[in-house]
Amino acid sequence: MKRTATGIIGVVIFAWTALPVAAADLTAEEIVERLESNQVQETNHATATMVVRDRFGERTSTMESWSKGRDVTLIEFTSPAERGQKVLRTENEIYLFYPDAAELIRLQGAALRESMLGSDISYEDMTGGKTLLETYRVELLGEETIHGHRCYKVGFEARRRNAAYPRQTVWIDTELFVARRSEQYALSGRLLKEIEMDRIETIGGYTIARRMIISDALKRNSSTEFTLDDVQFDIQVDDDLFSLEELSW
Amino acid sequence: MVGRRGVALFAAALLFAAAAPGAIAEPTTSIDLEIINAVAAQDDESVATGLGTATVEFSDASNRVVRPRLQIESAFYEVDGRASALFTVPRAEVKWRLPLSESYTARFTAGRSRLSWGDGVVFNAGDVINGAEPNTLDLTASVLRDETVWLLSGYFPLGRYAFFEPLLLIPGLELTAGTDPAAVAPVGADKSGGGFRLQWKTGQVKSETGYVYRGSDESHAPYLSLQGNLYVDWYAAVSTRVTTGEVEEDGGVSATEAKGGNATVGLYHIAQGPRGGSWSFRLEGIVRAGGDPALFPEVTWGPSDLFTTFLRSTIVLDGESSASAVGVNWTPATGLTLALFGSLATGTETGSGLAGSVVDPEVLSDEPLTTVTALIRYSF
Repeated sequence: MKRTATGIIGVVIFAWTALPVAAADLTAEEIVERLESNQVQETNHATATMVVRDRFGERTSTMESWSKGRDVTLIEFTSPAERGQKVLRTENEIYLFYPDAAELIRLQGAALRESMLGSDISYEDMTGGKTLLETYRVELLGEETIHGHRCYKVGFEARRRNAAYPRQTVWIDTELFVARRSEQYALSGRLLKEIEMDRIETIGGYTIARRMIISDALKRNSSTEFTLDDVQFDIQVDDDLFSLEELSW
Repeated sequence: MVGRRGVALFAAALLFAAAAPGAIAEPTTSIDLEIINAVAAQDDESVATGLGTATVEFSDASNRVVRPRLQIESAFYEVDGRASALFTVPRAEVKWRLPLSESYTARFTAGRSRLSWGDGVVFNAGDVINGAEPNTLDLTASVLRDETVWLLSGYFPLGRYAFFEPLLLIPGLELTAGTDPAAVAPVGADKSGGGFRLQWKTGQVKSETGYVYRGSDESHAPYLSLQGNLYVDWYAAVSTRVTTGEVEEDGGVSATEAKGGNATVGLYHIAQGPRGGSWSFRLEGIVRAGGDPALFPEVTWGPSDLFTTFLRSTIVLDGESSASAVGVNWTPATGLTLALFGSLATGTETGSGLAGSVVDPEVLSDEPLTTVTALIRYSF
């Protein structure tokens, strides 16, 4: 069965789906496997709203996304100021399409660190494709209560230097195996981003966080609120959707 | 042989068909409204003007088989206290998908549309449709190149990253009585053009090659464009243009054979600032036949994507012509952008638009032209 990150962004990989399971004396690897194994959908289709706030103002964008497998995601922005802009993630690349310039831009290297539409989400956050355990060594750091919910505190350390975040700490609900908080750090140990997840709901047999608030610790008073307005799992999604043809359609 | 009257009737039928209700089933409407106030100074004289643009776009993004897009642009201003406006239709296109077999679907586009071949923000030798450099360039614009042409094109996917794109360029009507826009007639079919593009990936390098023939001057223009990443993003293109037909020169017509070529290269890098902002650096260059080489450097800095600044220039390496613009873009609320630009143009290079900013480069004198522009844009 194919596995999918189910999300519009790779950050969501920690956040979305979970099934209640009994958990006792689990290792960090088992906890992370439960977290990921609960994210088993063939496909995903969602509409979402992204609100970017910082000291300069606020901007709301809406979008529609499709995902298939772990590697491929297509996002189309539907809000008036960005209507028709698209992002395609396939394997290790990001393609952007701007309809007015009819321009297909291929992002590689440092450009992947650019923020997506001014949000606290970078294009690099969207790249991935490997499982968490393939990308990170994990360590169980204990248990803590987050917003009234008991969570495993799991440390992630990247196996390779080119990971988007060298170190992460994730708080995973001990019953639902859905992430409720995440912190991402630079190699130096400096905090880069904090993510809070709430509005946990069960939809189509999957338990997901419908809202994430992402704060970029390097920017003052900066946050991105990401809300899933509608989501469908395991629906028919054509492979051709994740192509340059669809991007420039 | 089709007579002149027959051709005119054919053109009239096309115009009628274009005016008939189209394929837009559930249109989505977007409106961009820009209010611009500018002051320009040159030779001890200064002028001030206010004008606006409104771009209304209708599309139907929900249809998976047919996707129409109609864009109507209006520049509005006051003349002697009376409101005036000038309308254009920069885009009027219909894309449709056509299954050629059970597992293969091709795509076609017809109308006034844009094809962007090659890579480059300002200089792009791979753009053999619109030219390696823009005819006019507004360094304060958010999109520096968005030329459109009347075309019929196909798109044949060759896997996820590769495709073949044949193209037919169809000439528009021509004026038959001075500048009276109502007095138009079709031009000869021999003025049509066409070509193709093939794009694929070789390892981590995006490769693109193509060719365009233009019947208007019987020119042939092949090109090759590459894009990749080696510490920084890079892109390069080379094209040549061989003209075998009659080329109009200085108002007269002379039979000639001419060859020309362009080579462009670009580098792009983005870096995070120490406090979370981002810097980006772009440098493009062009070496062109019949003209001096030119550069396009650009630096942007944004403590937030809701507040960005930029400095960009075009520098013709004749030592005399350059244009620079510095600007600030601020998005305090959804859809609203407040911008302030300053630009400085010097030199007399004409024809390429490189020395032009928000003014016609033909009016440039040896004296520098300075403009300050305040812009308010709202998208809804």
